[in-house]
Amino acid sequence: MPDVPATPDTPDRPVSTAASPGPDDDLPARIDAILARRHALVAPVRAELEWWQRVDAQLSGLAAAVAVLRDHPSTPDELRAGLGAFGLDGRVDEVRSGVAEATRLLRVLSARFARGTITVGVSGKARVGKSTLLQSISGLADDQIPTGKGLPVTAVRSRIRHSETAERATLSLHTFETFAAEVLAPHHAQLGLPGLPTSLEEFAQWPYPVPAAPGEQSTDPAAPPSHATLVKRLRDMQAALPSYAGDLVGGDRELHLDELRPYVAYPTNAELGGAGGVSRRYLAVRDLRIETRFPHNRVQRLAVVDLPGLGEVAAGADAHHVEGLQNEVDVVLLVKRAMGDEAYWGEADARTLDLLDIARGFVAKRDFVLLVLNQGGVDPAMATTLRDDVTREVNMGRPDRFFRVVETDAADPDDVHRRVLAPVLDHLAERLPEMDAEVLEATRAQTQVVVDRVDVLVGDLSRVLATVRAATGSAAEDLDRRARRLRQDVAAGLQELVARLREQARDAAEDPEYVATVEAAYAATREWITSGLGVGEEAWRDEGLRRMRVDSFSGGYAGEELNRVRVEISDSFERIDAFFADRVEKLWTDVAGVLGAELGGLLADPRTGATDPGTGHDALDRFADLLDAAQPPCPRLRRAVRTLRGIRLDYRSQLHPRVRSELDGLALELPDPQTGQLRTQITVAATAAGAEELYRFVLRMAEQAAYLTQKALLREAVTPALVLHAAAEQFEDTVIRSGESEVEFRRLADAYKNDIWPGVYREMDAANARFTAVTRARDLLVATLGARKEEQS
Amino acid sequence: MTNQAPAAAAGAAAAGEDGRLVYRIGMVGPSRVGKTSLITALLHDGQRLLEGTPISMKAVGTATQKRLSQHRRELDGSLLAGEFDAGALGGSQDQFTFHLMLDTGVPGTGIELQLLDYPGGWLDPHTRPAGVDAQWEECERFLEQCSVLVVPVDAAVLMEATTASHLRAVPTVLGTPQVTDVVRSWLKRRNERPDEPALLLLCPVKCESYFDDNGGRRDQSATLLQWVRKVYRQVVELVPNEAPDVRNMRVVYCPVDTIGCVEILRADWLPEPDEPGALTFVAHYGVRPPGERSVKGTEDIMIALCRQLVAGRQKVEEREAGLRREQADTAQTFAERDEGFFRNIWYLVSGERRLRADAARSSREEAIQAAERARALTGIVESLARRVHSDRVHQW
Repeated sequence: MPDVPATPDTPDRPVSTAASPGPDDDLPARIDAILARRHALVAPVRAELEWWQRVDAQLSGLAAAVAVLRDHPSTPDELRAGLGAFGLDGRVDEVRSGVAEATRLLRVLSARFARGTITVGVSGKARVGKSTLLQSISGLADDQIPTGKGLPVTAVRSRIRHSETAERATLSLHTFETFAAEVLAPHHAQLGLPGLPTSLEEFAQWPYPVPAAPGEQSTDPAAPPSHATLVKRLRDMQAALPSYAGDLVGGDRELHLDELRPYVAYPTNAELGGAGGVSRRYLAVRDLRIETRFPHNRVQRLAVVDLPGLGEVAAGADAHHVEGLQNEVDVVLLVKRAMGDEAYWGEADARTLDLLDIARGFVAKRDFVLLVLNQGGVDPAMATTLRDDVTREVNMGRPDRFFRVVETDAADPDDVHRRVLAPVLDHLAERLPEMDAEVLEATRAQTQVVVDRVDVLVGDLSRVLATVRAATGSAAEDLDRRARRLRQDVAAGLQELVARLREQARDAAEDPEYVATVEAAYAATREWITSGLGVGEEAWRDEGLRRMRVDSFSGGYAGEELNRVRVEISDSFERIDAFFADRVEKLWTDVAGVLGAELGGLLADPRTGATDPGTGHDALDRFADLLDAAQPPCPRLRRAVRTLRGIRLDYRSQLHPRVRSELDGLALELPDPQTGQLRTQITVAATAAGAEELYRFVLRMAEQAAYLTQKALLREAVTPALVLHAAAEQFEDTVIRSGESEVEFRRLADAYKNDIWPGVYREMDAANARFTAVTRARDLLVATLGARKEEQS
Repeated sequence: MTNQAPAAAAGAAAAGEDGRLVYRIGMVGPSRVGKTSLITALLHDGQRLLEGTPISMKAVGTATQKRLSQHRRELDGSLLAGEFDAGALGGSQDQFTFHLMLDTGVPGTGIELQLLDYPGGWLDPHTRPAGVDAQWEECERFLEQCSVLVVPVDAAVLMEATTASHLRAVPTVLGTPQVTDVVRSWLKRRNERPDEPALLLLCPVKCESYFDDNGGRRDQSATLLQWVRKVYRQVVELVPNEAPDVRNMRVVYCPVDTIGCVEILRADWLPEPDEPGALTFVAHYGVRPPGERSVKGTEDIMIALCRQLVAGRQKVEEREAGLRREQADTAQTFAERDEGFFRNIWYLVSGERRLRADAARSSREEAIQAAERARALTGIVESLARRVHSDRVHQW
């Protein structure tokens, strides 16, 4: 809130009703300085206005966020109850109405400080000489400010500003909408007429009641007499619509001062009595600004405002004028004149003064209102009577006690200048800084009350939110908790799997399927052997005989065949690889099952959308990719998965080395176990009998080798289980106990929380968003309040 | 029954009166475990051992000769065929006592080995045929009077059991519960004669495929020993529990290659058609070229038996010396009263003494030779007893 330089208090300084003595050459400069200082305050006031607008928007946002949070079905009961007990709606509404008032006050202030002129309002009942006084001040004539006898003539509120150069009038015109809202609507409201025309055509056809003629019984006996006047006005407006309908175009229209009268004057008596239609173009005028050179003005930046109708029977006129007075004038000249035999301070005058008392706002009433007794052409006795009555009724018997009273002949410009304008300007030059300071201070005090209320509101809301926050925890904390539980559950699942595999490897010792697989492989191998070593007995012997005859000895063929048979038998047992592949796949599937059970739909097969992770290797590959794609990634877990996927369990790499020695017998020469010397196992004659003997020998050795291989494989029955157990144990160890495990599970949970716990975090995020919206709105408000405090400190 | 009943213990005692030692050896094992093969191997290897000595080993009695001859023929046929199944050799269908003689050629001298073979099925009351109770009682009495009990074990059953179902079938196939019962009963009787040496021989047979010292390619002897220890643990543990008082009790593990030139080609564990879950074990053997029989391990049995004899003799001589000092004329009475192994040893010692006395009195060549032969037998027995067991043997 800006500061206004303080001025010494000058209580009850009497304003002379006599003419100011001599020229005050310093006055224009003082007024300019005041206006300059005022103008400097506009920016801070507007800044404050914006601050309040911001507060209002933030309060509105806070209220909306709280309402959303409170009313959402997923909001915890505790929170809902807390917010309910907080009674936010009523409190925010209350504070916002305070903010609205603060804003209004600041707007008034802003308007006050933004004015480029010292503005004097002229008010008073009709026919007291307001227009005459304005003419005297402004030098304008009847064409611009109509005067007359009998009927009211000034139909449009005008603001007249002194200008050294310009001579012009600017009309601000109604549109039909503003006309309906600002002119018709108050009449309708006051008359209790339902609805409101929405177009010119509707207005033209609007079925207004016919007013009762004087002396006739009204159709509504309870209706006050003024209703008839109001109805007549409406009907007059309706009847005269063609005269101003073309002017209801909105915007400004600049006119020469000579063209102004049709827009500002009521119809004259002659016009009203004429046969033709009456023109009421003033109805289209919303506002009138006139720039002209004031004749006796020492102050360049001076404006006078015609404030017609205070206390008149005019729908909405009072409120309209109060607002206008507050925003636009620095001082009001309330004109009073003795009329006919009426020379007293009447009830209407008192009501007008009451309105002005409201309108003065924080300005002292003594500074804001001057009573101007227009004594021009008034019987002196009546003038005296009025003066005395005003002294009694208004100033409680002591002249100028509460209101300063000046007297003048409104029709005499010199007198007006000397006895009214000059003292008023002197008064303003002296008092305006203090008046401004008072207004500013009072506004500040008023707005500070609202600030305090906002503060209390925010504090109370924060306490409620703090309680709820402590009870529910944040999404991040929940995710931490879930990540830990996920790791624990995966650990439990893997440990169970590892324990089962350990049991198979160490306790059960034998896998019946493995035994059956090996026995089947042995049976097939034996079938191959007994059916003639792959070629048939006869063919084998024939070939053997031919070879032996060619070689002249049996060793070549025997050696080759033993080698061939050895390789064939070894290869034949590769049949068990299918079993190993199944077992490895089963391990992968089991592991994927453990992971899938805890990871929700994360491992679901994207091709099928099934939640079942599908084949183990596919699921683990997907999991590894997911671990890699997580941001940040989970390299340790991924490596563990890849390692598990990389395990190999097959006859050739795992078992063959362990059973290979069983095939040693399938060689022509063998070392003597006692001497180490190579010993040829068989030598036969190169004859048919020899071939048969050799066949029998090879057959026997093959059969024995196959049997021994089978036996060795069966004795290794536990090996596949050991390999699988070791692989699973290593996987479990790495996944659960590696140094990075906890961190990477947290990352995994964070990256795929919506897949792992579908709905939980979307809803939680939404819930948190609702909560955060409240806290953010609260924080914004706190920050805004804090910035103000900081600025003030 | 084709020869002497186990009651021949009395006959043996009678025979012992002319100086011949009757050495009763019990055997306990299921059908087809290889008892006949073991005896055949014992005879076969005994003959080899005694080559070049005045002592010979032979089957005594037509029945024994026929039984062993038949077994040998079947074996020879199989060897010629190049392969055979273990089940192809006829198992004992009836009780039978083999009589083998360490013969000096002098009547009244020598050591007669009486080995009782009986159907393994008799061990189990469930499988024992009706109407053989009396014979089984005789068998039991024979077994109880033996200071030596041989437990033949089919090594292949132990070594070829690879799967859980095989292993489950092993006790049934080897009849270990029944063997255990017989051993327990035998030990109880031994405990009643705490001074008598006692010998429990665990004899895996058909071990050719598991040793590399007799033509085999691989040495799996440690595995075999391990299996025997495991499967017969309860039998071995009975010894200290059931015969704690026997001061000279030996448990000797003597694996035997009953044929030598064969090795297992494959083994089948066939489901018993009449007994769900039960398996029958059938081993298929191939003959190693050139198919010549090469028994191994029986020498260790002989050594063990001879050590038993020597120990018995020493005990008898010590006892006789003591008795002579106190009451020489009652020694025989004492020996008579103490029937069994000691009595037989006493007869042996008495016979030898008588022969020496005869030789001294008559100075006839025959008498001198008879005395020499008796002394030679004693010397051979003592010599064998002094031999060191082969590496195959373990003593517990």
